[in-house]
Amino acid sequence: MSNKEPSKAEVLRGTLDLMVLQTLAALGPQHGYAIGARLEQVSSGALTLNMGTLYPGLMRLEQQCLVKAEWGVTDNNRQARFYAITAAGRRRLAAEKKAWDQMVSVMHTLFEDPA
Amino acid sequence: MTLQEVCSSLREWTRRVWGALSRRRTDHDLQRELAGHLALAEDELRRKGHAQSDAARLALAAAGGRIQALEALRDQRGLPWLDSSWLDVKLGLRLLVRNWGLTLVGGLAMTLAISIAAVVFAAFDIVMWSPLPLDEGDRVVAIQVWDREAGRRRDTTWQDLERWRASLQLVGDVGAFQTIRRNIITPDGSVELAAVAEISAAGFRVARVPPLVGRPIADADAAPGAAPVVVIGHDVWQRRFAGARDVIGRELRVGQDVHTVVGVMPDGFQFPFNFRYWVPLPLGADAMLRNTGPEGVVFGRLTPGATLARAHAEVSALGVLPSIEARPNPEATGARVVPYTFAFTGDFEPGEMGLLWSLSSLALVLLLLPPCANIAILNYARTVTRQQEFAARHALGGSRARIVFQLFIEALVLTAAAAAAALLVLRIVSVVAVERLQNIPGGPPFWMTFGVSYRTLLFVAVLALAGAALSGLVPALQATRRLAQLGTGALAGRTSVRLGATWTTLVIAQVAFSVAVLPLAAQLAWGTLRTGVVGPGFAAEEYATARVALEGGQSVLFGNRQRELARRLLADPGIVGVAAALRPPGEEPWVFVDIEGRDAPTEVVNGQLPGFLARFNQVDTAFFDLYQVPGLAGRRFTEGDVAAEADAVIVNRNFAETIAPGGNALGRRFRYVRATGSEWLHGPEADRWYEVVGVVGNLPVTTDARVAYHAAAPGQIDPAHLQLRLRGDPAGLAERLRDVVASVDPTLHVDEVRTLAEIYREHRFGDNLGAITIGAVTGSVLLLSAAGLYSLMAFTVAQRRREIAIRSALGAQPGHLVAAVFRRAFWQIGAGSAAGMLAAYLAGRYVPIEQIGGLPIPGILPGAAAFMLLVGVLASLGPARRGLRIDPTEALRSE
Repeated sequence: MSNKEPSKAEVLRGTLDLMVLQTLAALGPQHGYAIGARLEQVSSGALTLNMGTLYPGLMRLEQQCLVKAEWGVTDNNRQARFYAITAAGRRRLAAEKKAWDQMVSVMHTLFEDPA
Repeated sequence: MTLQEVCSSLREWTRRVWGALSRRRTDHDLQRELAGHLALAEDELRRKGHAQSDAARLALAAAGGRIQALEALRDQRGLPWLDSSWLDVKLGLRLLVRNWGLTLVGGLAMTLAISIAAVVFAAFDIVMWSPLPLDEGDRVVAIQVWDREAGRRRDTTWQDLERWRASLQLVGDVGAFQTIRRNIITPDGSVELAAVAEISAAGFRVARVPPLVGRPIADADAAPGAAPVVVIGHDVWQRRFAGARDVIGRELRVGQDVHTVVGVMPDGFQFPFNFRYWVPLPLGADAMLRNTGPEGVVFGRLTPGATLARAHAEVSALGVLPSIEARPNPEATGARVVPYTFAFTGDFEPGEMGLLWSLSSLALVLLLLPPCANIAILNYARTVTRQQEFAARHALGGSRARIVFQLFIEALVLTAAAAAAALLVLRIVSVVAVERLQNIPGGPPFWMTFGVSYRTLLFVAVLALAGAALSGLVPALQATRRLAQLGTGALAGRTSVRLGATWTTLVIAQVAFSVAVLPLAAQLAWGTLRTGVVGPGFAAEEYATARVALEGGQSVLFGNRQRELARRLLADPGIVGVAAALRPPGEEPWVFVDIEGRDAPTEVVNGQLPGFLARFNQVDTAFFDLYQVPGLAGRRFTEGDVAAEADAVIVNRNFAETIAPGGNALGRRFRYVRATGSEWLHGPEADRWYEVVGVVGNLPVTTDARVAYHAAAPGQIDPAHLQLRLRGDPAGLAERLRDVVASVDPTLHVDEVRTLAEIYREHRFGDNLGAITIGAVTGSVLLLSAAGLYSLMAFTVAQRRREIAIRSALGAQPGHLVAAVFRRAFWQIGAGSAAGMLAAYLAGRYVPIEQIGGLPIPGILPGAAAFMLLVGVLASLGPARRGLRIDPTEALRSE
């Protein structure tokens, strides 16, 4: 087994998709900036995504047909690309959530019951 | 990874490929989105109380670099390596245009090599892999009697066929066909000589094609005493019966017997081999069944679940019965099962064919070596002049592998273009081949399709890749070997790279090869084209030839019929002379000849052929007069020479000069050598001594050959080729001939009616094709040599620019300087020419040019060397002029 720690990008990549999908499922169609701001807000500033991470991630989700995007206008009259979760995205989110919950439960048990 | 994730990944990569190819989201679109993001961030910061200038700065800092984000988006949008390769391709294309000389020379040579390889491969592919276009055609097989010792097929007996039919479990519907040639005569009296399939009823079950009208041949049709029936093809139905629905029951005369039409097969059906008439295979008792396609084949269909290997094992185990007609190697003779179409190729083991195919493919790839070696020289010379560019790229972080990959892609652009051109050549050749093959009686087997298969496409792609690897990768690795050590010197334009000993040797080898190839090519081309240039030596359009044979080969009858035929033909006002021969002039069979007292070996030993190569013909007494061949010595044939025990032979001048150089050939004796492994098919006997009784002039159409003529009486040659001298227009001759022949005997066959001019035109087509190929190969070799020399000279001048400048500044004559620079190069041309001349001389001694179809041209060897020298001088003119124009001040300043 490799003794290297998993890189930050790897951790982020695995969870970023899930976070974006969850944000879109909860808030409805959002533009990139709003998605980033939301993630920053819920992490109390711990998670700050720069454009070089956020937008390629969104493009990847779009290429996988998990989200779809179209140009629109924001409340303060700015042009932005709005992303919305697709049916395939919802299915993926549900599956990932289930797997995540199972993993959390396992970890929780492990941490709580060291004996 | 779950299925869902796999699907998502597939979707992502599909879109990325599409994104790379289509640029679905443009850079402008991506930038617009990023700009929108920054604007929204600024708005937010301003709302929180930041000043305008601070907001912009802070937004940018929080969002990360805009350029980096754009790059990351571009990478995600498509396939980064595809994008960079595409850039390399564009650069390669630009270089092709800029270095048009190299493109032209290298491209032509590469196109030629790939074209030759592709044409040969495609021909192999068509013969070996064309599938039988029947339902589960790959399960149709042939059962053959196989002599393992001689490595050849033997005829089958009826008993074996019956035994296979009754006993085999893994091969069903065992049957056979035999090809017979019959005059087909309809009630309206029209005559057509056609190949007819005598076929078992099982043949129609094997083919699984029901008749369009009526029924196929049934087992009962072959029973003794059954009424003769015939099944006809769709085009015969249309042509001879106007597509009448009531054709069933109508009569058709097939040879001597009147047959009743019982069925019409659908359009395109020709199984078992290009047939349009099918009659029952009569059950024979003693007669052997021929077992060589297309003369005859025993066939069957693998039963469900059976494999070829298991069927072969079953048939091998069953073996063959002892034959009534003794077989040469009874102990080593057994039976085998092969794919059906395999029965129409030569005598091979199935494994041998695969091996032959693999070896041929490999040999064809090796065809690329000469042009690739030459292009590699040119590429290397060009690559070393780009040291500055590579040093710069290396300094900017480009790895050696990346630079080598770029050079490979550049070479690939050239070879890919050559491959595309070669596919075009292949297409043209296949169209021409289809046209030519359609004129051949019988044509190619119906299952052969002449399109370009995916195997051929793949092979051409492999050739392009191999060509690029050989011509681009090798020089690229060589030129970038010391990339890391080049440092700033190369960036400033100074390079210490030299054309090493390997490359100099290659140039010498190239010159040697050119000098060796030139005489060979010129002599071969002359041998091929001479007849076309000087003509056949007589008015070929006034002569016609036609093949005549009697059904069943009853030669006693045939003699009488032939005499009668000649008499009636001479009554035709359009025919002024008739003779008979085994073959028309220029188409005589080849044989090996041994002169008395020399005892030639009976097999090829150390490249020495058994005796010398000659042609023979059997002719009647009227032949020489018909062609107005002058007698040079001795006598003409008399009636006594046609007796079976007679050993009198008349030879042409070439033959006489070979057996008695400068002397008298009359009375000399020779024999035909039966070379080991070859079959003696027809004509005079092998290993019997014949005596020369006369010498006649060469017919110019066979000037390049030694010909021996044997006397034959009417009926002794079967089938014979009638030789007719015509008066006036030969149009309508075939029909007139057919009528006369039918009036003599309806069972007398006549076909292949052609004027000699037509025959020679056909020969010339092949000759011209051969000469064009030889010319193109030689031309490309010469061009490559010239380009190689040019590069060598240009490179030498560039390398010694500084030296020339200094010596010129010190007062040396520019002419002397350039001469000194070029001395070494001319020494290389001289060395190459000497080596080439020696190689050509030795090759000529070992294998005389006449033996491979060429004609000697006096003084060709020194002529070729002089020509090469001239090419060298011409190739050096440009670089020499550049050398003379070097301005010492300019040259030294730039250093």
